[in-house]
Amino acid sequence: MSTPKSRARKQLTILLGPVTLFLGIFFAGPLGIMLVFSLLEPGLYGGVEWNFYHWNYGRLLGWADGLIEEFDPIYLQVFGRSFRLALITVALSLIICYPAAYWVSRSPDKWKGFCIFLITLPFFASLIVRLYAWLLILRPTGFLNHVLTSLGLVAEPLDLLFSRTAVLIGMVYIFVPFMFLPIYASIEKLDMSLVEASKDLGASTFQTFRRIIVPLTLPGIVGGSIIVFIPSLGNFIVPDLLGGAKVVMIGNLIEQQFLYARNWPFGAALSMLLMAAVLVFLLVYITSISRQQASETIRA
Amino acid sequence: MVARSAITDFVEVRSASKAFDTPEGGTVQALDQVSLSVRDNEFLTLLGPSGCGKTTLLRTISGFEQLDEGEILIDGQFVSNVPPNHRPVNTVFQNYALFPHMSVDHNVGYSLDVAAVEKKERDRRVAKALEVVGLSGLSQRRPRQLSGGQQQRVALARAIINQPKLLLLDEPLSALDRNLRQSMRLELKNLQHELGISFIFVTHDQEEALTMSNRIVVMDEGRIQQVGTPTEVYDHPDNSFVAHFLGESNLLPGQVHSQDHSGTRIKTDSGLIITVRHCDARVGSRVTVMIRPEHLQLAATPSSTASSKDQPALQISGTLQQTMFVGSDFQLIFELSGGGVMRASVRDTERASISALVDGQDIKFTYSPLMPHVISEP
Repeated sequence: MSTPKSRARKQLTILLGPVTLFLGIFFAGPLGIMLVFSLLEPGLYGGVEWNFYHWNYGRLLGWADGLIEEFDPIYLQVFGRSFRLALITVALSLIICYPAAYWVSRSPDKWKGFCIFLITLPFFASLIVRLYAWLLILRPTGFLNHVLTSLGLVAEPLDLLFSRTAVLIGMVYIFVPFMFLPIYASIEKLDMSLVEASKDLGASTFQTFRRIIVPLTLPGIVGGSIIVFIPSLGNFIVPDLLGGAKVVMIGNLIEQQFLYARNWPFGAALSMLLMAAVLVFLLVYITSISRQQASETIRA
Repeated sequence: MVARSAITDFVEVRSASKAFDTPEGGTVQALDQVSLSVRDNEFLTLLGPSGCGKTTLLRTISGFEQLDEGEILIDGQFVSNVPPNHRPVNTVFQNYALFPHMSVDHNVGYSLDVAAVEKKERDRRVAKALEVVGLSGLSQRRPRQLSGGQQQRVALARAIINQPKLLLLDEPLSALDRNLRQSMRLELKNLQHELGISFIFVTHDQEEALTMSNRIVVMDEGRIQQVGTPTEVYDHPDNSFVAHFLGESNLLPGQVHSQDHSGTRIKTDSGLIITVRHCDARVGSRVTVMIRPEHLQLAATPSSTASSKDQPALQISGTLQQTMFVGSDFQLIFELSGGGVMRASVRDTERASISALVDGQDIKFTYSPLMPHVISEP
C-alpha cells in the first residue's frame, strides 16, 4: 500500500536524510554549543562555569561593568579592519578574475580545460606550504626584492613582509580560484548572440558590458563575492604567517581566545558576533543587488 | 540596361572570401569569391544547405565576421573597418537573441536607450514599432513569458525601430511550428513592403525562398550557384545543384543526339530519348536534362490527349515501383527499362486512374517538349 504521496515522501527522506543528519550533528550542534558558551562565565583555568553571563558581549559592544570585564573598542576596530580587508580582497579578486574568466570562456575548448586545470592547480599543494613560499618571495632578501633591486626599480629592499599588503597579497592569492570558478560558470552560460544583438543595435563595447554582460553574469559575481568574502573575513592563517603580529584580524582574535587566553566564552561571543555581522552584511548586499537589478530593468 | 541603372544598389559585395579553421586543424572555405548586390526595396533570399556560407555572408554584412579578401560597400561606403554598432543595418537573429533580463519595452527600445534618445520620442517609437508587429499591450512582459511567435515579433520590432535601410534575417522562422511559419512568411513580406526597405533573408527552406523573395541567391560550398527570380531559378536552374536543391527533379545525364526544326533530342545514359524545344547545347556535348515530377502526366488520361493536339505526345515508360500519397498529390516512383529511377507527381484529381495501378506493372508517362530544362555541363 504505497500511495504516490507516501512514495514521494520516502524518496525525499532517502535523498535529504544524509545531509540533514550530517549538518544536524556537525553544524547545528557545534553552533548551539557556541551560542550557549557565549552566554556562560569563563572558568578561572579555562572551560566554563554554568552561570548566565552577558558581559562577554558587553565587553565587545560597550556595556561591560569596567570591574571584572572591561569594554575595549579595539575589538570593534579589529572587526572593522577585517571587514575592510575582506572587501578589498573581494574587489581585487573580482578585478583579476572577471577578465580572465571572460577570456577563458571564449577560448577554444581544449584551452578551457587546461586553463581550469591551471586555476585549480594550487589546490594540489598544502596551503601552509604555499604561504611559506610567499614568505620567501616577500621577505627583504627574497625573490621579489631581488628582482626589483637588480632591475634598479628600488634602491632599498621593500619591507613588504608582515604588513597589511602582504596579508592582502596572500588572501587574494588564496581566494582567486574561488572567485574565478563561479564567474567562469556564469560567463560560460552567457549567450554570445546577446552580445552581438547589443552591438547590432548600436551599443558600444562598454554599453554592452554594462547593460548586457554584467546583469546576465551577476549571479556568478554575487556567488563568487560571497564565497570569497566569508572565508577571508574569518581567515587567521594568512595574517598569522604573512602579517606577523602586526596584522590582527577577527580570526586571529578568536584563535587567541580559544587556544592561548583559554577564554572560551569570550571566543564564542566573538564568533557569534562575527556570524551575525556576516549575516546582516550579506542580507544588505543581496537585497541591494536585487533592487539595483530591478531598477536597472525599469530604468534601462 | 537603362532600367537597371535607375536602381541603386544599397549593398555591394565584391569578391568576398572567408575561410575558417576547423577544430580538426583544417580550413573550410565559407565564402569563395562571392560577389553580390542588393537593390533598394528588395527581398533577397540567401538559400542553401547548412554550411554553404549563407550565414557567413550575412555576418560579414552585419560586421560580425571579417573578410579575408574582397570588400563590402553599404550605402556607397566601404565598411571593412566599421564595427557592427556603426553599420546602418540591423539583424533579426536565428534564436531571436532577446535580452532575457529586460521587458519587451526595453528590448524594443534598446537601440534608442543606448543612443540616449529623449524619453517622449523613445516611448512614441517603441509604441509604434510594437504596433507594427501587432504586440501592443505586451510591453511589460519578459521574453520568457511570450510564445515563440511573439518573441519573433519582438525581435522584428527591435530590429526595425531604428529604421535601418537594410534588415538582415538569419533563419528567423526556423524555430516556429509549421502553421505559424506560413503565416509569418506573408507578414514578413508585407512588412518589407510597408517599410520600403531591403531584406536579406537567410534560409535553407526552399519553400520560404520561393514564396517570399524578389530574388533568390542559391549558394553551395561558399560559392553562389545562381541568382535569379524564384521562377528563373526554379524553371531554369544553371546547374544540377540548383535543380536538385529547389523542388523535386529528375536529373538525367546524357548527350545531345540530334537537332532539327521540331527540337533537340537528347539521349540519356539510361537509353531514353528526350525531346526538348529549347536547347543551346551543340550536338555531341554532355548535358543533364531536368524533368520536374509534376511535368510528367500519366498516359491515357484526358489531359494528356488534350495537350497532344499541337504537339505529338512524347512518352517515357517504365515499371511502377511505388505509389505514395503526399496530400495534394501522388508520387509515383518508376524504374526505367534502361536502368535508373524517376519520379512523377500526379494530381489527386486523377485518383481513379491511380487506384487502378498495381506495383510492378508497366506504366507510361507523357511530357510536353516545352517542359524539360537542359543544363549544360561545364
